[in-house]
Amino acid sequence: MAVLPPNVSAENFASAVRELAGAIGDDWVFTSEEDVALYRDPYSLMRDTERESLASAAVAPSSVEEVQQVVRIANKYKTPLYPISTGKNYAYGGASANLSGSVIVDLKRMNRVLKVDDERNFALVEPGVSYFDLYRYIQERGLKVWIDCADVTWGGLVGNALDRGMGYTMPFYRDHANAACGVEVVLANGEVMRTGMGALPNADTWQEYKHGFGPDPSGLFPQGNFGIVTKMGFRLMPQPEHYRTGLIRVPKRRDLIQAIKIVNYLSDSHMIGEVFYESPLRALLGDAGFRAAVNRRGGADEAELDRYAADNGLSSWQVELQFYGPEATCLANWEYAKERFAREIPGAAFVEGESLKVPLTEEQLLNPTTSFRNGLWHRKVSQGIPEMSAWSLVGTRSPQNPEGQTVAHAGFFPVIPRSGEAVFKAQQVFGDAFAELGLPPFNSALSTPLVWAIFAYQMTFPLPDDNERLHRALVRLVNVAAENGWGDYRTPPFHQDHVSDTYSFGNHALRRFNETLKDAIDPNGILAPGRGGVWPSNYRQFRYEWGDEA
Amino acid sequence: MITRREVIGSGLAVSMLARTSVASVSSADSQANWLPVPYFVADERFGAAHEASHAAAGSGAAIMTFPGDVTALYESLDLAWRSARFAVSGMTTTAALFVLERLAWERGLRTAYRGVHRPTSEGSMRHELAGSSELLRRLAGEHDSHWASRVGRELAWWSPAKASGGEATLLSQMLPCAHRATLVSWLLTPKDDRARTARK
Repeated sequence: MAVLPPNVSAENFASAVRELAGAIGDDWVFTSEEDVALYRDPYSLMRDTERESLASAAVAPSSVEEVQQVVRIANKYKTPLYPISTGKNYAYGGASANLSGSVIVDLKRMNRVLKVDDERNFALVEPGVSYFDLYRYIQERGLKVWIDCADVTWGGLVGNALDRGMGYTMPFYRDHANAACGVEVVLANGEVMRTGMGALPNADTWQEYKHGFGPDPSGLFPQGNFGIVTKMGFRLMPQPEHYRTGLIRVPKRRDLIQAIKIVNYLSDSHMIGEVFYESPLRALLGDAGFRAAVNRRGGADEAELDRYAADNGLSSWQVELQFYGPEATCLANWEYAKERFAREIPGAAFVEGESLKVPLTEEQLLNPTTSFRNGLWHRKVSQGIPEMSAWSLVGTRSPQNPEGQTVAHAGFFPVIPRSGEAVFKAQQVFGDAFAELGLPPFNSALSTPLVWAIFAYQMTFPLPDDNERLHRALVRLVNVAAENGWGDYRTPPFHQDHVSDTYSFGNHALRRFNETLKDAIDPNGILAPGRGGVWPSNYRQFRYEWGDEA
Repeated sequence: MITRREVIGSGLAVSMLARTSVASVSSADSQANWLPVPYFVADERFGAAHEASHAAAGSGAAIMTFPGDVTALYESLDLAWRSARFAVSGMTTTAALFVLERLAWERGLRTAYRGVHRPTSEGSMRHELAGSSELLRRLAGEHDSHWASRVGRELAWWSPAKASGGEATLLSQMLPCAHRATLVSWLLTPKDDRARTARK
């Protein structure tokens, strides 16, 4: 056994493992090096260093009752636990814990779809249910509801929502934590609690009204460590009758400001699904002069970029829109969008996309010429269908594949305001920061926000040999963002303390509140210590164990 | 109504049963210790993977091709391995192997062999192989431009017997008109310890 939990003797840990095996079965307690290695983060910047987080063991309970027993044993031996659903949270730590030596609670065996209702439009699932599992369940029964899928869908709905993942359909559904409705958790003392209407015995509305009565603690569990979620409800989008896409191009750089205002209106009025912004000027990146122009320190010269656009007959920006609903409504919303853009942005141009009856046929889904497959984000997931194709975009690394690809998942996702002015400012601030840090120009005057549902601005890094340098660079970027009022929304364990530190209003009142709650609810600090930057008092000395150099 | 996905899943099971009746092992030695690998996976974008799959098919393996998007393959193997653990080999990119080996681990299998096939700046291929010493010995024969065929042929069989592991580095000629991409050949086999088929 390579790693022990902090402050737990080998003898006590061996006793804990024996009791865990007695509670959930020998086959479901993993202590061999080969088994425990499965829970390492293949993308950790700390990989193979003494700072890498390693599990001491893993357990795989199959029921709520077994989870309760695991928690009680962990309390007895003061052994930290780290629950995962399917463990596919790659880019954000995978299955690895904030605190090295934790016992991973692997919930993949709890994989029952408990209910799907396509008249009241919800699902209730266990944490081991993957997007593929739920999709199969729905298809086999011919139910008329869609899933809002994550990017790579081998993971689970519960885990994705608990890390505040996002999807691609309509606004109400694609913020997965917000779409959750009703949570069951095993608390640190072993009790089972249900939130919202689930707290009312005999209520049949658990997945329809999330708040119930009084304070609603359900928001404490995403990116938190206040309980082990054993059931979660989700609001599901009714299967739309029709799907339409359209592309809008605008000629000048500053047209992005008005374009974003219009798209905000369309989105917040629930007229469109996820959008995809892009700059057609990317076609000019082979030109060294143009590259220099878009990477200029201090920000781009707008007149110069407008000249490049005009001289090459290109638009400065484009945005793809998706419409879901009755055919007539999709068409009316598209016509409205065109009318707004034509009226408010001189020179706006429109490209008709697809207009298809839902569900799409296999041939339509596989047709590479359909416009909804042209954009990076317009893949099967925009039709509520799980897929893995995005995996080829992000590369891999693992013990079995040390070669990997040259791109890894060290992402940075600051939340910026939904305005063109903010996009331009972020382009300049991060462009300058990358240059000062000696990193490649991941950001340029052509960079666009990734998603608007949570207003994130994505940058993904290649994996240089010097992981320590990249780690410090990321910490610096977190601070640069915070100086401008932009905060990271989601990050792997090795940056969570740094990000948490930037949410410092009122002398860290939010963190102090969370940690006061943590100590009251989990006095032994056994549940995911450090997750979300929330450390229980008995492990607080491990804050910044990853290094606090900026 | 039977969906396309169910047909794919059923097809896997039927083919696997049929394959167990295939007789010969390519190597004369230790025949009793070698079992057929029912499926060989090939990324259809690469000529070397095509060549390897043809050789594997010649040894009786059923071929599963995919166009780089691993979704359908993942779903098929996920469903099939839930019912029964069986060995699968292939030649793909490292990205696809990452996905498949994660799935394999969850279904009670392990990566028993891995070969990285990397084009060199001198126009040859460098093969870095890691696996059982017996398999490496079989792979380390004559290495000409048809190295992919040898890999496909030998990965149509696997041995559940305990074997010492080893590593080998070889050089060969490039395939004619070969895509200059690094590929990986691999063999996923059931773990020989406690059954973990339900682990998912």
